[in-house]
Amino acid sequence: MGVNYWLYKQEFEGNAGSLDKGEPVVLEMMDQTDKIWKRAKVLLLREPAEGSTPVGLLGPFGEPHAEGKYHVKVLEISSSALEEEE
Amino acid sequence: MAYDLRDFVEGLRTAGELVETDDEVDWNYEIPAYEVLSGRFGGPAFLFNNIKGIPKGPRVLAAPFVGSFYRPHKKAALALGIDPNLDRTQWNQELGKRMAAMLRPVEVSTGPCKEVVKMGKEVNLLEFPFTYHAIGDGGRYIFISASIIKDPDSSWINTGNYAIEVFSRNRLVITPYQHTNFLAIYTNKYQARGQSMPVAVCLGGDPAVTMSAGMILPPGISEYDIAGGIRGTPMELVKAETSDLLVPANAEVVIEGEIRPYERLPEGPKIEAFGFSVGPRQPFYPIRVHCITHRKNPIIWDLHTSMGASSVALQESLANIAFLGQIKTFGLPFKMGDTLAPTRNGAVGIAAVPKKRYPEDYPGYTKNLYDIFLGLPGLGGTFGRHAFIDDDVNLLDLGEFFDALFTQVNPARDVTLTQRFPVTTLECSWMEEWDRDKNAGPGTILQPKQFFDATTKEEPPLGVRRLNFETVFPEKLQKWVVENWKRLGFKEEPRWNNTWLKAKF
Repeated sequence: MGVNYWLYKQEFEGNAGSLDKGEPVVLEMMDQTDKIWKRAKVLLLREPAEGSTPVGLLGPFGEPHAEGKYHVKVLEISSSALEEEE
Repeated sequence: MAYDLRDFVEGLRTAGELVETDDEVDWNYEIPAYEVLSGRFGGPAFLFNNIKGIPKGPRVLAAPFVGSFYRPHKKAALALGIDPNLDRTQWNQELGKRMAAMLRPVEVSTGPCKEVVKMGKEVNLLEFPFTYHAIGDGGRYIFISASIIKDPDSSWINTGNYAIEVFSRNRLVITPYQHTNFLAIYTNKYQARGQSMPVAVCLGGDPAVTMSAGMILPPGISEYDIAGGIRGTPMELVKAETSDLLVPANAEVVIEGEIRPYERLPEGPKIEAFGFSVGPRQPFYPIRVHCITHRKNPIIWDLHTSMGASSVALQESLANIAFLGQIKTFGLPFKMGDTLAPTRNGAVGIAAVPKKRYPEDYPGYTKNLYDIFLGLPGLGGTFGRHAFIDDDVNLLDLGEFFDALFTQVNPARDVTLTQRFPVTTLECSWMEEWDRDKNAGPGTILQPKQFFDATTKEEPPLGVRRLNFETVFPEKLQKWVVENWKRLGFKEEPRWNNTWLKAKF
Protein backbone atom coordinates (compact mmCIF):
# COMPACT_ATOMS: atom_id res chain seq x y z
CA MET A 1 0.00 0.00 0.00
CA GLY A 2 1.13 3.54 -0.57
CA VAL A 3 1.39 6.07 2.24
CA ASN A 4 1.43 9.84 2.17
CA TYR A 5 4.28 10.33 4.62
CA TRP A 6 7.42 8.66 5.89
CA LEU A 7 8.72 9.30 9.39
CA TYR A 8 12.43 8.88 10.10
CA LYS A 9 12.71 5.74 12.21
CA GLN A 10 15.04 7.14 14.86
CA GLU A 11 12.90 10.25 15.35
CA PHE A 12 9.75 8.14 15.50
CA GLU A 13 11.29 5.87 18.13
CA GLY A 14 12.22 8.92 20.18
CA ASN A 15 8.54 9.91 20.20
CA ALA A 16 7.05 6.43 20.55
CA GLY A 17 6.03 7.20 24.13
CA SER A 18 3.36 9.53 22.73
CA LEU A 19 1.63 6.79 20.70
CA ASP A 20 -2.11 6.82 21.38
CA LYS A 21 -1.65 9.27 24.27
CA GLY A 22 -3.38 12.18 22.55
CA GLU A 23 -0.26 14.31 23.09
CA PRO A 24 0.78 16.30 20.02
CA VAL A 25 4.40 15.85 18.97
CA VAL A 26 6.44 17.90 16.52
CA LEU A 27 8.51 15.90 14.06
CA GLU A 28 9.62 15.79 10.45
CA MET A 29 7.68 13.85 7.84
CA MET A 30 8.71 13.24 4.26
CA ASP A 31 5.83 14.15 1.99
CA GLN A 32 5.58 11.46 -0.69
CA THR A 33 4.02 13.88 -3.16
CA ASP A 34 6.95 16.28 -3.48
CA LYS A 35 9.58 14.21 -1.59
CA ILE A 36 10.31 17.09 0.78
CA TRP A 37 10.63 16.80 4.57
CA LYS A 38 8.10 18.94 6.41
CA ARG A 39 7.84 19.94 10.04
CA ALA A 40 4.49 18.85 11.46
CA LYS A 41 2.58 18.79 14.70
CA VAL A 42 0.79 15.42 14.81
CA LEU A 43 -0.91 12.85 16.98
CA LEU A 44 0.77 9.43 16.69
CA LEU A 45 -1.65 6.52 16.44
CA ARG A 46 -1.54 2.74 16.19
CA GLU A 47 -4.98 2.46 14.63
CA PRO A 48 -6.63 4.67 12.00
CA ALA A 49 -8.91 7.40 13.33
CA GLU A 50 -11.08 10.05 11.75
CA GLY A 51 -8.86 12.41 9.77
CA SER A 52 -5.75 10.30 10.21
CA THR A 53 -3.44 9.04 7.48
CA PRO A 54 -1.19 5.95 7.43
CA VAL A 55 2.57 6.45 7.48
CA GLY A 56 5.71 4.41 6.87
CA LEU A 57 9.07 4.46 8.61
CA LEU A 58 12.37 5.19 6.87
CA GLY A 59 15.43 3.38 8.25
CA PRO A 60 18.87 5.02 8.46
CA PHE A 61 20.17 3.35 5.28
CA GLY A 62 17.17 3.96 3.09
CA GLU A 63 15.02 1.04 4.22
CA PRO A 64 11.31 1.97 4.10
CA HIS A 65 9.28 -0.37 6.30
CA ALA A 66 6.22 -0.71 8.52
CA GLU A 67 4.04 0.94 5.88
CA GLY A 68 0.58 1.46 7.32
CA LYS A 69 1.53 0.08 10.73
CA TYR A 70 1.21 3.53 12.30
CA HIS A 71 -0.97 6.55 11.57
CA VAL A 72 -0.77 10.28 12.14
CA LYS A 73 -3.40 12.91 12.57
CA VAL A 74 -1.85 16.07 11.20
CA LEU A 75 -2.65 19.16 13.30
CA GLU A 76 -0.22 21.59 11.63
CA ILE A 77 2.24 21.18 8.79
CA SER A 78 4.77 23.60 7.28
CA SER A 79 6.12 23.68 3.73
CA SER A 80 9.54 22.36 4.79
CA ALA A 81 11.49 21.04 7.75
CA LEU A 82 12.95 24.45 8.51
CA GLU A 83 11.98 26.28 11.67
CA GLU A 84 11.70 29.44 9.61
CA GLU A 85 12.04 30.01 5.90
CA GLU A 86 13.41 33.27 4.62
CA MET B 1 31.07 29.80 -29.89
CA ALA B 2 31.84 27.81 -26.73
CA TYR B 3 30.76 24.18 -26.58
CA ASP B 4 27.86 23.51 -24.21
CA LEU B 5 25.42 20.86 -23.04
CA ARG B 6 23.17 21.44 -26.07
CA ASP B 7 26.09 20.66 -28.38
CA PHE B 8 26.63 17.45 -26.39
CA VAL B 9 22.95 16.55 -26.87
CA GLU B 10 23.34 17.04 -30.64
CA GLY B 11 26.54 14.97 -30.58
CA LEU B 12 24.70 12.14 -28.83
CA ARG B 13 21.89 12.37 -31.40
CA THR B 14 24.30 12.26 -34.33
CA ALA B 15 26.07 9.23 -32.86
CA GLY B 16 22.77 7.38 -32.45
CA GLU B 17 23.12 7.55 -28.66
CA LEU B 18 20.01 9.64 -27.87
CA VAL B 19 16.31 8.89 -27.47
CA GLU B 20 14.16 12.05 -27.37
CA THR B 21 10.51 12.03 -26.44
CA ASP B 22 7.62 14.46 -25.88
CA ASP B 23 5.65 11.81 -23.98
CA GLU B 24 4.91 12.82 -20.40
CA VAL B 25 7.31 11.25 -17.88
CA ASP B 26 7.54 11.56 -14.11
CA TRP B 27 10.54 12.97 -12.17
CA ASN B 28 9.44 10.65 -9.39
CA TYR B 29 11.20 7.30 -10.12
CA GLU B 30 10.32 7.09 -13.85
CA ILE B 31 13.13 9.15 -15.42
CA PRO B 32 15.82 7.46 -13.30
CA ALA B 33 14.35 4.04 -14.16
CA TYR B 34 15.07 4.58 -17.87
CA GLU B 35 18.68 5.39 -17.01
CA VAL B 36 19.13 2.30 -14.87
CA LEU B 37 17.79 0.04 -17.64
CA SER B 38 20.01 1.77 -20.19
CA GLY B 39 22.99 1.18 -17.91
CA ARG B 40 22.45 -2.56 -18.10
CA PHE B 41 23.56 -2.68 -21.73
CA GLY B 42 25.53 0.51 -22.29
CA GLY B 43 22.44 2.00 -23.91
CA PRO B 44 21.32 5.46 -24.96
CA ALA B 45 20.87 8.78 -23.22
CA PHE B 46 17.36 10.25 -23.03
CA LEU B 47 16.04 13.76 -23.57
CA PHE B 48 12.66 14.14 -21.89
CA ASN B 49 10.77 17.26 -23.00
CA ASN B 50 7.54 16.88 -21.04
CA ILE B 51 7.81 16.38 -17.29
CA LYS B 52 4.73 15.63 -15.20
CA GLY B 53 3.76 18.47 -12.88
CA ILE B 54 6.40 20.85 -14.26
CA PRO B 55 5.23 23.82 -16.37
CA LYS B 56 6.50 23.52 -19.94
CA GLY B 57 10.10 24.62 -20.27
CA PRO B 58 12.62 22.59 -18.30
CA ARG B 59 13.75 19.33 -19.89
CA VAL B 60 15.75 16.43 -18.49
CA LEU B 61 18.79 14.75 -20.05
CA ALA B 62 19.11 11.34 -18.39
CA ALA B 63 21.83 8.70 -18.74
CA PRO B 64 24.25 11.18 -20.35
CA PHE B 65 27.35 9.11 -19.58
CA VAL B 66 26.16 5.51 -19.62
CA GLY B 67 29.03 3.47 -21.03
CA SER B 68 30.00 -0.10 -21.74
CA PHE B 69 32.09 -2.43 -19.61
CA TYR B 70 35.31 -1.96 -21.56
CA ARG B 71 34.48 1.54 -22.78
CA PRO B 72 32.88 3.37 -19.86
CA HIS B 73 34.15 6.57 -21.47
CA LYS B 74 32.27 6.25 -24.76
CA LYS B 75 29.88 9.17 -24.12
CA ALA B 76 32.43 11.18 -22.16
CA ALA B 77 34.64 10.91 -25.22
CA LEU B 78 31.81 12.16 -27.45
CA ALA B 79 31.42 15.15 -25.11
CA LEU B 80 35.07 16.06 -25.62
CA GLY B 81 35.37 15.31 -29.32
CA ILE B 82 37.60 12.28 -28.64
CA ASP B 83 37.24 9.01 -30.58
CA PRO B 84 34.84 6.89 -28.43
CA ASN B 85 36.40 3.71 -29.86
CA LEU B 86 39.69 4.23 -28.05
CA ASP B 87 40.36 1.59 -25.42
CA ARG B 88 40.67 2.65 -21.77
CA THR B 89 44.43 2.98 -21.90
CA GLN B 90 44.31 5.13 -25.01
CA TRP B 91 41.47 7.22 -23.54
CA ASN B 92 43.53 7.92 -20.43
CA GLN B 93 46.57 8.81 -22.50
CA GLU B 94 44.58 11.26 -24.61
CA LEU B 95 42.86 12.79 -21.60
CA GLY B 96 46.17 13.08 -19.75
CA LYS B 97 47.77 14.84 -22.69
CA ARG B 98 44.95 17.35 -22.82
CA MET B 99 44.93 17.93 -19.06
CA ALA B 100 48.62 18.72 -19.08
CA ALA B 101 47.89 21.62 -21.45
CA MET B 102 45.83 23.56 -18.90
CA LEU B 103 44.24 26.78 -20.14
CA ARG B 104 43.11 29.60 -17.90
CA PRO B 105 39.47 30.66 -18.33
CA VAL B 106 38.40 34.02 -19.72
CA GLU B 107 35.80 36.34 -18.21
CA VAL B 108 32.97 37.53 -20.44
CA SER B 109 30.38 40.22 -19.73
CA THR B 110 27.28 38.03 -19.99
CA GLY B 111 26.06 34.70 -21.29
CA PRO B 112 23.07 32.44 -21.92
CA CYS B 113 22.92 31.47 -18.23
CA LYS B 114 21.53 34.97 -17.53
CA GLU B 115 18.48 34.63 -19.81
CA VAL B 116 16.23 34.29 -16.75
CA VAL B 117 17.19 35.76 -13.35
CA LYS B 118 15.19 35.04 -10.18
CA MET B 119 16.15 36.61 -6.87
CA GLY B 120 15.04 36.29 -3.25
CA LYS B 121 11.39 35.37 -2.89
CA GLU B 122 11.15 34.41 -6.58
CA VAL B 123 13.53 31.51 -5.96
CA ASN B 124 11.83 28.12 -6.05
CA LEU B 125 13.94 25.01 -6.58
CA LEU B 126 10.79 22.90 -6.81
CA GLU B 127 10.00 24.47 -10.19
CA PHE B 128 12.78 22.32 -11.66
CA PRO B 129 12.42 18.60 -12.43
CA PHE B 130 15.07 17.36 -10.01
CA THR B 131 14.46 13.65 -9.85
CA TYR B 132 13.71 11.16 -7.10
CA HIS B 133 16.04 8.25 -7.77
CA ALA B 134 15.23 5.28 -5.56
CA ILE B 135 12.91 3.80 -2.97
CA GLY B 136 14.25 4.85 0.42
CA ASP B 137 16.04 8.01 -0.70
CA GLY B 138 15.59 10.80 1.81
CA GLY B 139 14.79 13.33 -0.91
CA ARG B 140 15.31 14.50 -4.48
CA TYR B 141 18.98 14.74 -5.42
CA ILE B 142 21.25 16.56 -7.83
CA PHE B 143 24.01 14.07 -8.62
CA ILE B 144 25.68 15.98 -11.46
CA SER B 145 26.72 19.59 -11.13
CA ALA B 146 29.75 21.79 -10.66
CA SER B 147 29.80 23.53 -7.30
CA ILE B 148 32.00 26.60 -7.48
CA ILE B 149 33.77 28.14 -4.48
CA LYS B 150 36.81 30.37 -4.08
CA ASP B 151 39.77 30.27 -1.72
CA PRO B 152 39.53 33.58 0.18
CA ASP B 153 43.33 33.90 0.37
CA SER B 154 44.24 33.43 -3.29
CA SER B 155 42.79 33.38 -6.79
CA TRP B 156 42.21 29.61 -6.59
CA ILE B 157 38.71 28.67 -7.75
CA ASN B 158 37.65 25.18 -6.71
CA THR B 159 34.99 23.19 -8.52
CA GLY B 160 33.53 19.90 -7.32
CA ASN B 161 30.71 17.49 -8.06
CA TYR B 162 28.83 16.37 -4.94
CA ALA B 163 25.51 14.78 -4.10
CA ILE B 164 23.11 17.60 -3.23
CA GLU B 165 19.71 17.13 -1.59
CA VAL B 166 16.89 19.45 -2.61
CA PHE B 167 15.75 20.35 0.90
CA SER B 168 13.11 23.03 0.29
CA ARG B 169 12.22 25.73 -2.21
CA ASN B 170 15.31 27.73 -1.22
CA ARG B 171 17.66 25.28 0.49
CA LEU B 172 20.04 22.65 -0.82
CA VAL B 173 22.16 20.41 1.38
CA ILE B 174 25.57 19.62 -0.10
CA THR B 175 27.66 16.60 0.93
CA PRO B 176 31.40 17.00 0.26
CA TYR B 177 33.43 14.26 1.91
CA GLN B 178 36.38 14.65 4.26
CA HIS B 179 39.08 14.43 1.60
CA THR B 180 37.71 17.23 -0.59
CA ASN B 181 39.29 20.62 -1.15
CA PHE B 182 35.76 22.04 -0.83
CA LEU B 183 35.54 20.98 2.79
CA ALA B 184 39.10 22.09 3.60
CA ILE B 185 38.38 25.58 2.27
CA TYR B 186 35.02 25.85 4.04
CA THR B 187 36.16 24.46 7.38
CA ASN B 188 39.67 25.86 7.67
CA LYS B 189 39.06 29.27 6.20
CA TYR B 190 35.48 30.56 6.00
CA GLN B 191 34.06 28.77 9.02
CA ALA B 192 37.19 29.27 11.12
CA ARG B 193 36.85 33.02 10.50
CA GLY B 194 33.13 33.06 11.18
CA GLN B 195 32.34 33.95 7.57
CA SER B 196 29.74 32.67 5.12
CA MET B 197 31.10 30.94 2.02
CA PRO B 198 29.54 31.89 -1.33
CA VAL B 199 28.67 28.86 -3.49
CA ALA B 200 27.33 28.55 -7.02
CA VAL B 201 25.91 25.18 -8.09
CA CYS B 202 26.07 25.04 -11.88
CA LEU B 203 24.21 22.57 -14.08
CA GLY B 204 25.15 22.07 -17.72
CA GLY B 205 27.46 24.31 -19.70
CA ASP B 206 30.53 22.67 -21.18
CA PRO B 207 30.62 19.05 -19.92
CA ALA B 208 34.39 19.54 -19.58
CA VAL B 209 33.75 21.70 -16.49
CA THR B 210 31.59 19.09 -14.75
CA MET B 211 33.94 16.30 -15.75
CA SER B 212 36.87 18.22 -14.27
CA ALA B 213 34.78 18.85 -11.16
CA GLY B 214 34.51 15.09 -10.75
CA MET B 215 38.27 14.64 -10.38
CA ILE B 216 40.19 14.64 -7.11
CA LEU B 217 42.88 17.23 -7.80
CA PRO B 218 45.70 18.52 -5.60
CA PRO B 219 45.02 21.79 -3.72
CA GLY B 220 45.63 24.94 -5.73
CA ILE B 221 44.74 23.50 -9.13
CA SER B 222 41.60 24.98 -10.64
CA GLU B 223 39.28 22.61 -12.43
CA TYR B 224 38.43 25.45 -14.83
CA ASP B 225 42.06 25.34 -16.05
CA ILE B 226 41.83 21.57 -16.48
CA ALA B 227 38.52 21.94 -18.35
CA GLY B 228 40.16 24.44 -20.71
CA GLY B 229 42.93 21.94 -21.34
CA ILE B 230 40.69 18.98 -22.09
CA ARG B 231 38.44 21.11 -24.33
CA GLY B 232 41.40 22.79 -26.01
CA THR B 233 39.90 26.24 -25.56
CA PRO B 234 39.50 28.46 -22.46
CA MET B 235 36.24 28.21 -20.52
CA GLU B 236 34.09 31.35 -20.72
CA LEU B 237 33.01 32.57 -17.29
CA VAL B 238 30.67 35.29 -16.14
CA LYS B 239 30.29 36.92 -12.74
CA ALA B 240 27.53 35.55 -10.49
CA GLU B 241 24.68 37.86 -9.47
CA THR B 242 25.13 37.71 -5.70
CA SER B 243 28.89 37.17 -5.24
CA ASP B 244 32.22 37.54 -7.02
CA LEU B 245 32.25 33.89 -8.05
CA LEU B 246 32.83 33.20 -11.73
CA VAL B 247 30.42 30.70 -13.27
CA PRO B 248 30.23 29.09 -16.73
CA ALA B 249 28.53 31.63 -19.01
CA ASN B 250 26.72 28.91 -20.95
CA ALA B 251 25.47 26.90 -17.94
CA GLU B 252 21.86 25.76 -18.14
CA VAL B 253 21.15 26.65 -14.50
CA VAL B 254 23.20 28.48 -11.85
CA ILE B 255 22.00 28.25 -8.24
CA GLU B 256 23.69 30.91 -6.10
CA GLY B 257 23.82 30.90 -2.35
CA GLU B 258 25.93 30.76 0.79
CA ILE B 259 26.95 28.23 3.41
CA ARG B 260 26.99 29.86 6.83
CA PRO B 261 29.56 28.91 9.46
CA TYR B 262 28.53 25.98 11.67
CA GLU B 263 25.08 25.79 10.09
CA ARG B 264 23.92 22.22 9.37
CA LEU B 265 20.75 20.49 8.18
CA PRO B 266 19.92 16.78 8.09
CA GLU B 267 20.68 14.99 4.83
CA GLY B 268 20.13 11.47 3.46
CA PRO B 269 19.86 8.57 3.29
CA LYS B 270 20.50 8.25 -0.43
CA ILE B 271 21.88 6.01 -3.12
CA GLU B 272 25.54 6.78 -3.68
CA ALA B 273 28.24 6.42 -6.27
CA PHE B 274 29.27 2.88 -5.37
CA GLY B 275 26.06 1.03 -5.77
CA PHE B 276 24.19 1.08 -2.45
CA SER B 277 22.41 3.43 -0.10
CA VAL B 278 24.38 5.54 2.32
CA GLY B 279 23.10 6.88 5.62
CA PRO B 280 22.12 7.66 8.26
CA ARG B 281 20.31 10.97 7.92
CA GLN B 282 22.95 13.24 9.42
CA PRO B 283 24.00 16.90 9.54
CA PHE B 284 25.58 18.28 6.37
CA TYR B 285 26.09 21.72 4.86
CA PRO B 286 23.02 23.75 3.85
CA ILE B 287 23.18 26.20 0.98
CA ARG B 288 20.86 29.16 1.51
CA VAL B 289 19.79 29.89 -2.06
CA HIS B 290 19.44 33.60 -2.89
CA CYS B 291 19.32 33.55 -6.67
CA ILE B 292 18.75 31.22 -9.61
CA THR B 293 19.72 32.17 -13.15
CA HIS B 294 19.01 29.92 -16.10
CA ARG B 295 18.65 29.57 -19.82
CA LYS B 296 15.20 29.49 -21.38
CA ASN B 297 13.91 25.91 -21.51
CA PRO B 298 16.87 24.71 -19.45
CA ILE B 299 18.13 21.15 -19.74
CA ILE B 300 18.60 19.55 -16.32
CA TRP B 301 20.98 16.65 -16.62
CA ASP B 302 20.57 13.77 -14.29
CA LEU B 303 22.71 10.86 -13.15
CA HIS B 304 21.83 7.64 -11.42
CA THR B 305 24.34 5.91 -9.18
CA SER B 306 23.26 2.32 -9.61
CA MET B 307 25.47 -0.31 -11.24
CA GLY B 308 26.21 0.54 -14.83
CA ALA B 309 24.55 3.95 -14.75
CA SER B 310 26.13 7.27 -15.60
CA SER B 311 27.68 8.10 -12.25
CA VAL B 312 29.85 5.00 -12.20
CA ALA B 313 30.74 5.22 -15.89
CA LEU B 314 31.78 8.83 -15.47
CA GLN B 315 33.81 7.98 -12.41
CA GLU B 316 35.56 5.20 -14.30
CA SER B 317 36.29 7.56 -17.14
CA LEU B 318 37.91 10.17 -14.93
CA ALA B 319 39.35 8.46 -11.86
CA ASN B 320 42.56 7.17 -13.41
CA ILE B 321 43.62 10.47 -14.77
CA ALA B 322 42.79 12.25 -11.52
CA PHE B 323 44.94 9.75 -9.61
CA LEU B 324 47.72 10.35 -12.11
CA GLY B 325 47.52 14.02 -11.23
CA GLN B 326 48.15 13.15 -7.58
CA ILE B 327 50.88 10.66 -8.47
CA LYS B 328 52.73 13.20 -10.61
CA THR B 329 52.24 16.10 -8.22
CA PHE B 330 53.75 14.17 -5.34
CA GLY B 331 56.39 12.42 -7.48
CA LEU B 332 55.26 8.92 -6.52
CA PRO B 333 56.66 5.83 -8.27
CA PHE B 334 53.31 4.60 -9.62
CA LYS B 335 52.16 4.01 -13.15
CA MET B 336 48.43 4.41 -12.48
CA GLY B 337 45.67 4.30 -9.87
CA ASP B 338 42.01 3.32 -10.12
CA THR B 339 38.96 3.33 -7.86
CA LEU B 340 37.85 -0.06 -9.16
CA ALA B 341 34.26 1.00 -9.56
CA PRO B 342 33.65 -0.79 -12.85
CA THR B 343 30.45 -0.19 -14.70
CA ARG B 344 28.83 -3.35 -13.40
CA ASN B 345 30.25 -3.54 -9.90
CA GLY B 346 30.49 -1.49 -6.76
CA ALA B 347 33.71 -0.10 -5.39
CA VAL B 348 36.30 -2.35 -3.86
CA GLY B 349 38.67 0.43 -2.87
CA ILE B 350 41.65 1.72 -4.74
CA ALA B 351 44.37 -0.14 -6.57
CA ALA B 352 47.65 1.28 -7.73
CA VAL B 353 50.47 0.09 -9.87
CA PRO B 354 53.99 0.65 -8.54
CA LYS B 355 56.52 0.87 -11.32
CA LYS B 356 58.18 -2.50 -11.71
CA ARG B 357 60.82 -3.08 -9.04
CA TYR B 358 61.32 -6.70 -8.25
CA PRO B 359 63.12 -7.93 -6.45
CA GLU B 360 62.25 -5.07 -4.08
CA ASP B 361 64.87 -2.38 -3.50
CA TYR B 362 64.93 -3.68 0.05
CA PRO B 363 62.65 -5.97 2.07
CA GLY B 364 59.54 -4.04 2.94
CA TYR B 365 59.84 -1.53 0.07
CA THR B 366 56.26 -2.08 -1.10
CA LYS B 367 54.90 -1.74 2.43
CA ASN B 368 56.79 1.52 2.84
CA LEU B 369 55.32 2.71 -0.43
CA TYR B 370 51.90 1.91 0.96
CA ASP B 371 52.59 3.99 4.08
CA ILE B 372 53.25 7.00 1.84
CA PHE B 373 50.18 6.22 -0.26
CA LEU B 374 48.06 6.02 2.89
CA GLY B 375 49.05 9.52 3.93
CA LEU B 376 47.76 11.24 0.79
CA PRO B 377 44.12 12.31 1.07
CA GLY B 378 43.28 11.80 -2.58
CA LEU B 379 44.80 8.30 -2.71
CA GLY B 380 44.95 6.40 0.55
CA GLY B 381 42.90 8.78 2.65
CA THR B 382 39.50 8.13 1.19
CA PHE B 383 38.79 4.44 0.96
CA GLY B 384 39.22 1.40 3.16
CA ARG B 385 40.68 -1.22 0.84
CA HIS B 386 43.77 -0.87 -1.30
CA ALA B 387 45.77 -3.17 -3.52
CA PHE B 388 49.03 -2.88 -5.41
CA ILE B 389 49.56 -4.89 -8.57
CA ASP B 390 52.45 -5.26 -11.02
CA ASP B 391 52.73 -2.80 -13.85
CA ASP B 392 52.25 -5.50 -16.48
CA VAL B 393 48.80 -6.30 -15.07
CA ASN B 394 46.24 -4.12 -16.81
CA LEU B 395 44.59 -2.20 -14.02
CA LEU B 396 41.91 -1.10 -16.46
CA ASP B 397 40.83 -4.70 -17.03
CA LEU B 398 39.01 -5.99 -13.98
CA GLY B 399 39.60 -9.63 -14.95
CA GLU B 400 43.36 -9.13 -14.86
CA PHE B 401 43.13 -7.25 -11.59
CA PHE B 402 41.22 -10.01 -9.81
CA ASP B 403 43.46 -12.64 -11.33
CA ALA B 404 46.43 -10.89 -9.71
CA LEU B 405 44.58 -10.36 -6.44
CA PHE B 406 43.74 -14.04 -6.07
CA THR B 407 47.01 -15.50 -7.32
CA GLN B 408 49.70 -13.08 -6.16
CA VAL B 409 48.61 -12.53 -2.57
CA ASN B 410 49.98 -14.84 0.08
CA PRO B 411 47.43 -14.45 2.91
CA ALA B 412 50.10 -15.13 5.51
CA ARG B 413 52.36 -12.36 4.31
CA ASP B 414 50.74 -9.94 1.90
CA VAL B 415 47.60 -8.70 3.68
CA THR B 416 47.94 -5.81 6.11
CA LEU B 417 45.23 -4.57 8.47
CA THR B 418 45.95 -1.06 9.73
CA GLN B 419 44.85 0.85 12.79
CA ARG B 420 41.44 2.49 12.47
CA PHE B 421 41.27 5.48 10.12
CA PRO B 422 38.45 7.70 8.91
CA VAL B 423 36.92 6.03 5.84
CA THR B 424 34.02 7.34 3.74
CA THR B 425 30.74 5.53 4.09
CA LEU B 426 30.61 5.37 0.29
CA GLU B 427 32.09 1.90 0.10
CA CYS B 428 30.73 0.50 3.39
CA SER B 429 27.52 -1.46 3.09
CA TRP B 430 27.61 -1.84 6.86
CA MET B 431 27.73 0.49 9.80
CA GLU B 432 28.16 -0.84 13.29
CA GLU B 433 25.80 0.55 15.90
CA TRP B 434 28.55 2.55 17.55
CA ASP B 435 29.50 4.17 14.25
CA ARG B 436 26.15 5.88 14.11
CA ASP B 437 26.93 8.00 17.14
CA LYS B 438 30.71 8.15 17.01
CA ASN B 439 31.39 8.58 13.33
CA ALA B 440 34.46 10.57 12.41
CA GLY B 441 32.48 13.26 10.63
CA PRO B 442 29.63 13.48 8.14
CA GLY B 443 29.79 10.57 5.73
CA THR B 444 32.75 9.03 7.51
CA ILE B 445 33.30 6.13 9.89
CA LEU B 446 36.36 4.81 11.67
CA GLN B 447 37.58 1.43 10.54
CA PRO B 448 40.84 -0.38 9.85
CA LYS B 449 42.14 -0.22 6.31
CA GLN B 450 43.08 -3.35 4.45
CA PHE B 451 46.02 -3.57 2.07
CA PHE B 452 46.68 -6.36 -0.42
CA ASP B 453 50.17 -6.56 -1.85
CA ALA B 454 49.48 -8.36 -5.12
CA THR B 455 52.83 -7.54 -6.69
CA THR B 456 55.33 -10.20 -7.67
CA LYS B 457 57.72 -10.61 -4.79
CA GLU B 458 60.60 -12.26 -6.56
CA GLU B 459 62.10 -12.06 -10.00
CA PRO B 460 60.92 -14.93 -12.26
CA PRO B 461 61.67 -17.79 -12.52
CA LEU B 462 61.43 -17.91 -8.72
CA GLY B 463 58.06 -16.12 -8.82
CA VAL B 464 54.92 -17.28 -10.61
CA ARG B 465 54.77 -16.65 -14.33
CA ARG B 466 51.48 -15.08 -15.33
CA LEU B 467 49.79 -16.87 -18.24
CA ASN B 468 47.94 -14.68 -20.66
CA PHE B 469 47.91 -13.81 -24.33
CA GLU B 470 50.51 -11.11 -23.89
CA THR B 471 53.01 -13.20 -21.90
CA VAL B 472 52.92 -16.65 -23.51
CA PHE B 473 53.23 -15.72 -27.21
CA PRO B 474 55.92 -13.74 -29.03
CA GLU B 475 54.75 -10.18 -29.70
CA LYS B 476 55.07 -10.68 -33.47
CA LEU B 477 52.68 -13.62 -33.25
CA GLN B 478 50.25 -11.65 -31.07
CA LYS B 479 50.14 -8.91 -33.70
CA TRP B 480 49.56 -11.44 -36.50
CA VAL B 481 46.63 -13.05 -34.69
CA VAL B 482 45.01 -9.75 -33.73
CA GLU B 483 45.25 -8.51 -37.32
CA ASN B 484 43.69 -11.72 -38.60
CA TRP B 485 40.97 -11.67 -35.96
CA LYS B 486 38.38 -9.70 -37.91
CA ARG B 487 39.40 -11.17 -41.25
CA LEU B 488 38.50 -14.59 -39.85
CA GLY B 489 35.01 -13.33 -39.06
CA PHE B 490 35.10 -12.71 -35.30
CA LYS B 491 33.04 -9.69 -34.33
CA GLU B 492 34.10 -9.42 -30.68
CA GLU B 493 36.91 -7.05 -29.78
CA PRO B 494 40.10 -9.07 -29.16
CA ARG B 495 41.07 -6.72 -26.28
CA TRP B 496 44.76 -6.93 -26.93
CA ASN B 497 46.48 -5.40 -23.89
CA ASN B 498 49.58 -4.22 -25.64
CA THR B 499 48.41 -0.60 -25.34
CA TRP B 500 48.55 -0.92 -21.53
CA LEU B 501 51.91 -2.69 -21.52
CA LYS B 502 53.51 0.00 -23.67
CA ALA B 503 51.67 2.93 -22.12
CA LYS B 504 53.59 5.67 -20.40
CA PHE B 505 51.53 8.20 -18.52
